[in-house]
Amino acid sequence: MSADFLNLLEVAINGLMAGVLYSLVALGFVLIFKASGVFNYAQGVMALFAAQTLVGIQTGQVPFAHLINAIFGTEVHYFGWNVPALLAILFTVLVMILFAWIVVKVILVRLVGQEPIILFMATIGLAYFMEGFGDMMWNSEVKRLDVGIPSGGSFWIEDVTVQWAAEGERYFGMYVDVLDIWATVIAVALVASLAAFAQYTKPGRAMRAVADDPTAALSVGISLNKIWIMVWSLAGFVAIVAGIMWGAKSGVQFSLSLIALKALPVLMLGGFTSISGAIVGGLIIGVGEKLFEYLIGVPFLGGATENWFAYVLALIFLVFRPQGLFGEKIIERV
Amino acid sequence: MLDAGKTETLLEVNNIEVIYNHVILVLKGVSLTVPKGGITALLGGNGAGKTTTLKAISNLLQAERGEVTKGSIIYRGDHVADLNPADLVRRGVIQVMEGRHCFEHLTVEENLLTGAYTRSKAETKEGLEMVYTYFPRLKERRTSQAGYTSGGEQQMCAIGRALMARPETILLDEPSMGLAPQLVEEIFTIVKNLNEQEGVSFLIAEQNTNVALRFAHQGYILESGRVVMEGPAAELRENPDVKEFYLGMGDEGRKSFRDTRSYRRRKRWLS
Repeated sequence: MSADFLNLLEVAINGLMAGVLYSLVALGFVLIFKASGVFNYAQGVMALFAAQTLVGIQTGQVPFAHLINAIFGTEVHYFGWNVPALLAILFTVLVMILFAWIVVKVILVRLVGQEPIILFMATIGLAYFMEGFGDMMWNSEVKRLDVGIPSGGSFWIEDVTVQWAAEGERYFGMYVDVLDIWATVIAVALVASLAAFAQYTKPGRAMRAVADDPTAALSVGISLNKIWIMVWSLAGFVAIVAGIMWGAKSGVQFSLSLIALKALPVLMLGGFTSISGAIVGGLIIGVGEKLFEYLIGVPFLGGATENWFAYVLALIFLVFRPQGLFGEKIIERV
Repeated sequence: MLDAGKTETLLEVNNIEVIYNHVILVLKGVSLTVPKGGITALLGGNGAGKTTTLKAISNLLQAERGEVTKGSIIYRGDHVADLNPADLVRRGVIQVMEGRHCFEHLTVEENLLTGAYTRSKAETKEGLEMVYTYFPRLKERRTSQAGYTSGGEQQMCAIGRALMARPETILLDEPSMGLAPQLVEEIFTIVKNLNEQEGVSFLIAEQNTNVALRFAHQGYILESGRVVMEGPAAELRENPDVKEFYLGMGDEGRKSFRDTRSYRRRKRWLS
């Protein structure tokens, strides 16, 4: 194989894995949108908050340290212990469930039956509140997140691919980050289990029923509050996974919350209501933007196409297929 | 099924008043009773308050910013006005909403299964069999997406879904809406069978007075938020006013619609 082709392949593979991470964020959106008709603007911030909480618990940070020190004149920052990664993740899950409970009890319950735009505004408020709250709780420094997932380039892949190159080509092997491979495996497992949950279990069915017709769901004895808490908890869990992956890649910092913006075109492409759509949409955008940058962007347009490519693609989709690739068709009987 | 003389009262609605959005008074004192094992019809035109009455009973009002401000709703001796719909379903009262409201993207069978949300696995299985014996058509279409089935099938699906909760009382809102007369007949016949064989009590809000009074045991007529008439169905059917205003029949047989329109005599019960 020629080196050019191998380079292209490398770009595509890395795009695919970036796409998996986009999918993961988009998945959180889809879950909440399906079950409560809310476009949850706070999903990105939830990922940031989850990552902050995870690091905070893991490194034994004192929550609200700054506030405590300011009020009591103390100087506490760390408890001085380290919590094992798995246990820290477990605690983070509990925190996100508590968060889901608070969101539903304090905000959603009071907004039952309101217009979607009002709920959307509420999630914008929630996003900015959480951003500040997260910084106050765990401070706003850029932190390193390490839960023991290996990272760095895979030498094995490099060694294998180097032999693929044709005789006499200057080729040094493919660079694939092990972290990306792990992220892909975990994301696939997460998606498969979520899809199975929605399709085959009683709460999953109830969740889809609520998504379809909340009033009717209420009338057959499904408690909307419970379903909402469940769904926001699931979205919180997805946020944790996304937060871990992105955090491990680029550190826990404010820009983590902006991945939510990358999820938007994914959703337009895949459809707001489809779990598989979120996945396929994420992959298409991941691969698409990397290949576009490599083949057209850098040689002809001066690069930096990754910033807008996804949105243009999404725009084209909006015009020709508004429900997305896999979105639920709006059923209209004639 | 309804045994006159020694009937047990299941549901008692006493003089309730319902206000939407804190300002709009919709029910101005509605009282009714639903006996165990009976079919009770709640009749009246558009905006008379039939749906609101049903929703007040099933507590679905809260989701629509409505509120029972006066009166009481008693089911089997307990006040139920403050319960949530899920509690009420567990107590055996379930509503089939107007306009069917099937879960469109779920299959017919999934719709039915959702109805058994409050029931155990064994009860669900049993219920599914029971529903399929009463609605063989649903069995044929069980893998179709509910949104793509016909209006009649959707109505059956909605009633079947309610049955899955193993209710004692079903509040059925406008089952005839948008259906061909033949289908209306079919659905009311199934309701009658369910009543007689499974002992389910029904409170049916209906505009189609003719059909409703043929299948019901007793009826109430609502007009602008008040009960204006009540009695056994057979009596209501013979009442000259009911004949005139709800059945379109005068003393001398069917009246032309044109005559009825220009004929604006005050109804006897208002004087």
